[in-house]
Formats: sequence, C-alpha cells, structure tokens
Amino acid sequence: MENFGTWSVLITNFLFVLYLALGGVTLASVLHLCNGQWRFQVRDLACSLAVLFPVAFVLLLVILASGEASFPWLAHAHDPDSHLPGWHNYGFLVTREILAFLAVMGVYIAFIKYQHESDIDASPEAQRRFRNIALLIPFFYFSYGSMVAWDFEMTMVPNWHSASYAAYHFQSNFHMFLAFFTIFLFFLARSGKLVKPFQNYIYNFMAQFMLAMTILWTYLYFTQYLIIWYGRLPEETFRFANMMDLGLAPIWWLFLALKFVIPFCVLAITPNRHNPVVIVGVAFSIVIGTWLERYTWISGSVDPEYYHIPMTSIMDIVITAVVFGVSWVAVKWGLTRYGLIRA
Amino acid sequence: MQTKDINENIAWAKINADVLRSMENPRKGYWIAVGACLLMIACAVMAEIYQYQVGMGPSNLNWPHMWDLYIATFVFWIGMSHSGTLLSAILHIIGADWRKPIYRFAEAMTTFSLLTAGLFPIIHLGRVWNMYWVLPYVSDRGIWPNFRSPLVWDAFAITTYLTSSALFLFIGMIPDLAICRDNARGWRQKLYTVLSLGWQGDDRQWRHFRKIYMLMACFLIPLAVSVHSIVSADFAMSIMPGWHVTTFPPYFVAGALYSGCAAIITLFILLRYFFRFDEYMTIPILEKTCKLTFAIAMVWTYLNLIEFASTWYSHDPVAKELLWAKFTGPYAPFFWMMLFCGSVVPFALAFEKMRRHLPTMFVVSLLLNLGMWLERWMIVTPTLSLSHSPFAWDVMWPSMVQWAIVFGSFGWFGLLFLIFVKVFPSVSMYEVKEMVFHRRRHAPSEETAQKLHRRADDPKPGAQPSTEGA
Repeated sequence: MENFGTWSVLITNFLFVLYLALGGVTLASVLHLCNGQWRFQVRDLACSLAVLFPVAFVLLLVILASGEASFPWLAHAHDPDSHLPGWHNYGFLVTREILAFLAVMGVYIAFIKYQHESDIDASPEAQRRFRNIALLIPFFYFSYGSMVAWDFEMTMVPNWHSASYAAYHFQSNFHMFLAFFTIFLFFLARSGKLVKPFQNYIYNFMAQFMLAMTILWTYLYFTQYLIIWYGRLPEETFRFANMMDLGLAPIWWLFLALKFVIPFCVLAITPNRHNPVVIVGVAFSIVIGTWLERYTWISGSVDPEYYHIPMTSIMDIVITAVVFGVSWVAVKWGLTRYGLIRA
Repeated sequence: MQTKDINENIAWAKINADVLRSMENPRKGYWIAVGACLLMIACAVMAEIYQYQVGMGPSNLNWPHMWDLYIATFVFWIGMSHSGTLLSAILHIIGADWRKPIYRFAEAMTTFSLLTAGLFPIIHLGRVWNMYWVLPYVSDRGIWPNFRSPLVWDAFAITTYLTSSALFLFIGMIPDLAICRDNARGWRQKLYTVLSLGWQGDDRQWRHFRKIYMLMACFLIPLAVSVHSIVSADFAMSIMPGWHVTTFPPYFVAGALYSGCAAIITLFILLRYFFRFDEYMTIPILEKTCKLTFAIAMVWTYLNLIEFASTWYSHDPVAKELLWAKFTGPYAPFFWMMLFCGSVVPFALAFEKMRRHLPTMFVVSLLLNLGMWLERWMIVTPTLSLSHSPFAWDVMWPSMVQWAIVFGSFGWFGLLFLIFVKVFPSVSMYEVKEMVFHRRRHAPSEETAQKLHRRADDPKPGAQPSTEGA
C-alpha cells in the first residue's frame, strides 16, 4: 500500500499494453464493417500490435498475484463492518480476469487468422467467416473493456460507481490507440523499411478519427462529471474532489489539456489535419494525456500519502522502461516475422 | 437482386421529372394516410379541449405522478428529431453518399418532430396561456427564469435546435426549389420563386452554398447531441432513483438516433410506395440504413445493460428496489416489451433476407419505435411511482385524455410531414444527380466512362435550365 503509486504505474502500463493489443484488431474490424477502403493499407500493421497480448498477460498475472498491493480494497475485504459489493471477491476477480483475457485473445487471434485467409482466398465462405468474426469484435471490445474498467479503475474505490465509467474508459483507450498508431505509422514510414508503404492521406484520416474521438472523449468525460457535480452527493463527488484538489491536481488539469484542449484546438484547423508532423505532435499529446489520465484514476483511489507524482521514483522509470522495452522488441519481432518490414 | 445504391445510368432529366411528378400525383394511399392523420388530430383536439375546460384532473396527473405520458412523449419526439441530423450532418461530413436520396425527408422529420415535441410542455402546463413564462426575457412582473434549472436549458436548446434545423432544411432545398420554380405553374411557381431566393446556380452561388451547408452541418452535430443531453439532464440532474445515472446523456442520444433511424425506415418504405420512388429509395440504401440502426441498437442495449450492472453493483437500496420493480412490478410487462422491442427485435436487421423484405422491415421499424416510446415511458413513470419516500409510492395509469393527446401527436407529425412531401421535393434532386455523377465516374467500364458527363436524353447545353449541375 505504501508504494501504491508504483503499483499504479504498473497497472497503467498494463492497461496501455492491453489496449494497444486490443485496439489494432478493433480498428481493423470497425474499418471492415464500415467498408473503409483505406483499411487495406493499414490493417496488417494495426493487427501486428496483437503480439502484445502475451506481454499484457504476463503483466496481468503479476498484478493479480500482487493482491493487496494492487487492489487496496482487499485489506478491508474481511473486516466485519466492511460490506463490499459482491464484485469485490479476490477469487472471482482472478478467475474472471484470466478467463476473459484468454477468451478475448483467442477471438482476436482468430480474427487475424480469418483476415489473412480472406486476403488469399476469395471464396464466399472465407469472406463470410471473416465478416462474421469482424461483427463479433466490437461486442468483445465493449464487454471486456467494461470489465477491465471496473476492475482496474472504477471499483478501486469500493461503492463509488458511475454507469458511464466503462464507456468513458474504453473509449479513452481507443483514443489513445489511434494516437499511438499514428505515431507508429509515422516512424515506420520514416524508417523506409515498410514492405508495403501506405499513402500519405492516411495521416489525414487518422487525424479526422482522432478529432472525432477527442470530441467523444470530452463529451463522455464532461457528462459524467456534470451529473456527479450537479447531484452533489458526497459519496459520488469525493473521488473527483480528491483528484482535483489533492496531490494529483496538476496532473488532473494536465491530462485535460493534453487530451482535449491541444488535440481539439490543433486538429479543428483543416491545414493541420494534412500535416503529418503536426498530427504526430498531437498524437503524442493524446498518448501522454491518456497515460496520465489512467494513472490519476488508479492512484487517486487511495489517500494522497500512498501515491506520488509519476516518474519521480526510480522504480516508476524502471518498470515503464522494461514494459515498453519488451513491448517494442515484441512488436519489432512481429513486424519482421510476418513480413511487414524488411529486416 | 439489386446491389447498387442507385442506377448510375439514370438520366438527370428523369430525376427532375420523377421528383416533380411525386409532388403532383401520389398514390391513393397518400390520401388515406392524410385522412387517418386528420382523424388522430381530431381525437387529440377534443381531448385537449376537454382538459382545457375541466383542468388537469381528467389527465390523472397528480402528485407524485406530475410527469407522465406528456413528458415521455415529449422526450420521444425530441429523440426522433435526431434522424435528420444523423443523415444530413454526420453522414454528410463523413462522406457517405448513399444518404443523398433520403436525407431530405429525414431533415423534414427533424423539424416536424421538434414542432410536435414543443406542444407537449405546453399541454403539460395545463395553463397553456402561461407557456411563455419559461422564455428568458425581462418582464415588469419580476419573473426571471431560473438558469440553474435544466428545464430552462431545454427551452434554450430546443428553440435553438428548431431554428437551426429548419434553416438547414431550407438552405439545403434552395437548388431544388429553383428547379421547382422553373417547372411549376400557378401558386406553386410563386411560392418557389420566393423561396428559391433568386438561385441561378452560378459558380459563386454554389461556392457559398457548399460553404454554408458544411458549416451548418458542423454546427448541428454538437447542437443535436447537446439538445438530447440537456433533455436527459431534466432527469439526471435530480437525485431521484433511476434518474441520477451518468449514462443518461449518451443513453438519450443513442436512443434518439435509434428511434430516428427506425422512423426513417418506416417513412422510407411509405414514401417509396406513395411516390413510386423505387429508383431512388433503393433496397441497398435501405439495407445500409438498417445496418446503421442495428449498430445503434447495440450501443443502446449496451448502455441499458451497464446501467443495470451499475445499479446492481451500487449500495443504493432505493435504486436497486426500483430496478427490481421495473422487472417484476406493475409496469413490468411494458418494461419487458421495451427490452424485447429495443434489444431483441433489432437482430432481425442483422439478416440480409429480412433487410431486403419491405413488409418485414416496415413491421420491425414500427416495433423499434414502439420500444423507444416505451423506453421513455419507463424512464419517467416507474421512478415517480417508487421514489425515496415510501409514503409517496403510488401506481398510476394514464387516463384516456393523455392517451388521446399522445395518439394525436402522431397524427400531427404525420400530417405536417405529408403536407411537406406534397409541397416540397422529398428527394434531393441535385444531390441525387451528384451521386449519379460520381457513380458514373467511378464505374469501371469503358462505355460508362464515355457517358461520364451527359446522358443522351439529358438537356443539351444551353437548353439546360439555370439550375444545371444542381
């Protein structure tokens, strides 16, 4: 509990890696369902991020095994006067998280397999199989994303609940994925190693997508905040008050700027949406903003003496460097292994 | 089996002729529909006269049920108004050109459903003559609206939305009104001459037209979303069980788009029949609308489920009791019917065979809208019957007066809509021409490529009316 700030960094990194793995396939599925013609240029690269599933799984096991260190409510789970909701049960938590992760990973990998088959086999059966699994992906993303939102953020404060929190959480992470993917595309293209380079207009499409997601994120964030603020029920407002007034206040306002003010103000101007360098700059803002947002919600669930400003501890830096270092190696291996970049 | 959204070989002159003819001689079914709407309105007018003379007693609106069908139906009609914004603005911005033959009537739906919705708060007041008190103006009686009340936000939001959507509808029609002007006689010609604002179709006019249309589309989307979020605030800003829920704004917006899409399917099928629009309101376009509706239905279902889960998770016994009462209490049949119509019936839209069968889709669209109307009723009434104070628990059923007025509102909306499609072009001629043009240009065959700019029976250059290229 004393080091909950560091555990929060680990959980935040886990969520990051997890949503990068989920986001690629989800993007490919959504573009397929909407018949977006530009999908053929990016979908293999997007799906390549699914190699992060094993990394996310290891992180999940570490977090679940850490027990009370990652889930402070466990300390009170057996107190006689503490009546936690039925959701707060360690055995149930571990079981649902592992089973759901494996199920989602299985479906997502099947999607990649069927997508590949649909590329090389034009038969109606192969196309139908692919379409059917593409239809399933959003359902999995919504359901699994909701569970993750509850387990790793919302229910960290037992009895605090917000019905829109799950949607707010997975939408925010999809927003982050789009931004990360834009950066990913940019640096891959600049490296000159892409086997099948994509057209430059893809940046514009990503910018439009990011702008739309920025607006949606702001809407979900603000409507949740407004209803809680207007109701003035102490059991609802205290969590916001803790984050906004206590040790995390600067980060709170910073992530609002990084996730809304900067992306909206920049991407709302048409020429900016055609400038890859500007778009990538905004994407960095969204990625960092989302990281801080996740950290704020997770660490802000305990009293201020148990957390710290992120990256002010050597452990935070080491953990983050290891997680993203291993992830980078995995992605690079995947890109080379599946012939998306030249070795 | 028809696979193209529109036949790209259709002549531009034929588009004009077909749409203009639709304003002259619809099928008999049109007049039967007008008659039915008039009858429905008559029911509502009689009920309103009775309520006006006797007072609010006959409506059964009494404490704690101060809000009932009137407010539920108000929310329903506000929701319906989102159809036009979805098709005209959102799909316009994302460049989905299949919307072009059907967006005009969806925009008209927006305006008329707002006009219908606006009647309900006035009827609900009882003292209809005092309705203007809610408007923000300084008066010598010292009345000043309470700006902290979401009801006042409603007044602002809805009047802004009505003004903007009516303007959007009108501006989008100008090039078509010029075509009507050039082809009409008598009173119609005078009307279209005034309304087309001297449109000649030159480059400058088109340039400005495009700019303002896009600008208004961008303005309308946040406006529409905020309108229904504000309507949700009427409930969510309170701390009543079942209303103080953070998903309410997106839930209301999703429900609004859902009912709007379902209504588009209903009216699509009706207009296709009334005006013989088989070549414009094609089955592939209906299919796309159905897929869109299915996606929105799933979002709506998700938001319902997450609200139930959140209530179960919470430690709020009153909210839990209310949710349980919805499933098992006196309103349970309607609640289950809402879930069936809203979450189960849309799966019919997932099957191609069903999507292509017009009678099935007609019935499905009506069921979807029944579900959406029930949703609003199930938001308003159960909470009032089972709120925080047990002494205020009461089950109330709406009286015939309320039912008659609600019933009549459908007639009012229908009549306004039917008059509109008879007087104004319900298919956008210039946008359909653009769609045909682009489809021709992207058609793969050499032969089609040669026919890119003009069909054999299109008017010759110079003989083309001033609205050429519209």
